[in-house]
Amino acid sequence: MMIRTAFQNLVSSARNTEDLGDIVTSRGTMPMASDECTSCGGCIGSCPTGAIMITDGTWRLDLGRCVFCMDCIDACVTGAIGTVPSPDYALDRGDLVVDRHTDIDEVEGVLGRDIRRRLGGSVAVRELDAGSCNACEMELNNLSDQFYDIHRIGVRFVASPRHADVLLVTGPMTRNMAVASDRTRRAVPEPSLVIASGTCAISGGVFVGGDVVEGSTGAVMEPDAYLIGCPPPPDRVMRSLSKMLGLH
Amino acid sequence: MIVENISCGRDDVLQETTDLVDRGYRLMNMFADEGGGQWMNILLRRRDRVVRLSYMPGEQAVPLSDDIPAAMPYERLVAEMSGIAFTDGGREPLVYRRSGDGYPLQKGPYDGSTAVPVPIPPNRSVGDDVFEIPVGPVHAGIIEPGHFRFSVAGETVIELNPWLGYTHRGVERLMEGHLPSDRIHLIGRVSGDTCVSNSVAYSEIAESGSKVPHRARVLRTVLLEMERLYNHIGSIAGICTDTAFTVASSMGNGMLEKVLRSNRELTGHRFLMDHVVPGGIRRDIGDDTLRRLDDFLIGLKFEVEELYDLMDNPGLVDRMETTGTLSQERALMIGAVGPVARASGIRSDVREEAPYETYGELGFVVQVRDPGDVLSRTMVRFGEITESISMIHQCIQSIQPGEVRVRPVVDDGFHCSVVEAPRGELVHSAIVKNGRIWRYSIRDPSFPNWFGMCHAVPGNVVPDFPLINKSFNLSYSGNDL
Repeated sequence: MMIRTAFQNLVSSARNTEDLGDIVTSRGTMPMASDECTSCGGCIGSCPTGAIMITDGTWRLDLGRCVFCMDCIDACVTGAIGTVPSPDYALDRGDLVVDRHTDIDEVEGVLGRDIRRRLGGSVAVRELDAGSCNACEMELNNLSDQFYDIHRIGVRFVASPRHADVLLVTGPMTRNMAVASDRTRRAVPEPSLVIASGTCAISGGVFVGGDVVEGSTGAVMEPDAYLIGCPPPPDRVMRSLSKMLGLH
Repeated sequence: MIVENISCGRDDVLQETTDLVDRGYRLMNMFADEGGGQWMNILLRRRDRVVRLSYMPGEQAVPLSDDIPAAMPYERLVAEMSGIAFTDGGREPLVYRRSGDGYPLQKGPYDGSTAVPVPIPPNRSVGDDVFEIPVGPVHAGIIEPGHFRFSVAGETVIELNPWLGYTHRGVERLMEGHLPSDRIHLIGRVSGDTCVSNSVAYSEIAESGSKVPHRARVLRTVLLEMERLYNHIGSIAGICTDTAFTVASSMGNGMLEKVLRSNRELTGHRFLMDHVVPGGIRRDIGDDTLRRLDDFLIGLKFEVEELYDLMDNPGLVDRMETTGTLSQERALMIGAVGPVARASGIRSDVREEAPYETYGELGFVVQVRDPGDVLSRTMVRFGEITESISMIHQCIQSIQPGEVRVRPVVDDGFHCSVVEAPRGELVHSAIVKNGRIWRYSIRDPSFPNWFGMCHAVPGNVVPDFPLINKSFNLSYSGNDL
């Protein structure tokens, strides 16, 4: 049975693996108010994480806090909020606050040439769970499956922080994980990068205000990039790593 | 579900509890709350009858764990989080592992600044050739954090103690003081892969005073079973990965991705987050989408059968058989739930015993296997995948048009809901005062099952631990809250 299946797979032309071009060019979505927004502020109360701000009559969204529940779309009385293509990451926390005039390609920066050259197109990633709900972990595991096959762009997940170039942090940094996270960070050899992956890691997400969480990755280590999403889907992680590190 | 509230004196509580256990009730949860002093609440369930036994412990609470071993983890939890003392001495902390002024789950602001870490004690097994292997909290793979202490003699594990709590985010406290219908986003993110079950259990409490439309209930059942489907497929794929059976693992992971994609088509989220809300579901799911789901699941069923045939080879079965056996007696003792209990020959399934949503209208077979090894747990999961596909099909066949959302209403008082999550019996209980959540308690199915793993691993070799761990497929974040 096993040999038959293996043989069938060898001769079959069916491939599940997604085209790299499709992954790189696709986009996630985010809620955004259109010109019809009257700045009434009705959506602000519906947001579970306080990601919506209206300043000077402009509707702004903090992608670092948004959990993409899209409750604001239902809450809007004028129907002005809809979904638009979203950026995948930012290198600066402040760039994650977007309004409808923001150029999403500009939000996503590229890391310095020096670090890209030193990594040489091959990146070893160590995942660090600082209190996430396991959804981020499942999505990162899915990156190695036949659909995404992240190995083909030169990214592999390694077992030890000592083998890693990139520390990918998920979760709101619980107090119980703070010491272990700090030690893991210090075990990563330089040059290294820290990526805060997911809403919890960027801002604490829905766990903000807890007595037993530090609130974000930044409380223990300074992130070099912020990956949005709750959880960030595999294609987004792949796109982001590919773009910020110049991998193809 | 019929909930019976019994108050009793401090001296009678042991007698009352053991009487209920003798009558077939099983311990579900224990938590402390405050109202004119501290109260201990003991929740027990027999089929669809829930008893909440409450008493005031005064200075010291009555230990139940001498007569009911399953009570021990709960006693450790209330001692650590709510500051309850027991007459027979202290309890080893379980989750937060910090000592200082105040307790995280007592009312009033909790100041964590005086808290100092409590070190993890060494295992009890000592001897000339006994070595202790500490593992974690940062593991080699992409998994959640947890610390394990193995005592080994040669290659055989003789003692295993899990020390969890690293993902403790203080969920129960974050629930307090809010409107009962307000916290769905938090509840959905308690344990990302048990999102629907948690949301349904929470919603059943938050909407207990209103009548949820039938269509919403049917769609919730579909989502609950989709969640079970992807969890079980992921778990089986994980077993193949941990036995280095790459062909089957790749196939299982491919199926997992397909199910996650159909989840996205159903609700817009790969983990079905934020779709179940108090009062119904957020948005109706169109009949076309449901029909496409039905077609997809028929195809998936063939793939599952193919995977089963692939896994039905002596090399793999030999590795799984007799590995990590949890006997029925031990499973009953620690109060195991869900697929773990069913693999040890215990017929316990909330969907059958206390039907919620539309499970009462569906036909399904509770999957029970023997003797509690890795193979039995895998077989239970295979059986449940087939049953889930059949249940979703029945739901789609019988669904009627109608409303999907009403305004949730909840009365003050004690509420409790029990849901069969992919990992087993999930218990939510809430005390609502003046329209706000006063105390919220969640008992994840992984909570008792972690102790089941401590009994299943000794006697096996260290390299079998990842396999046994995967076959239990327990949640860290749900356990730690």
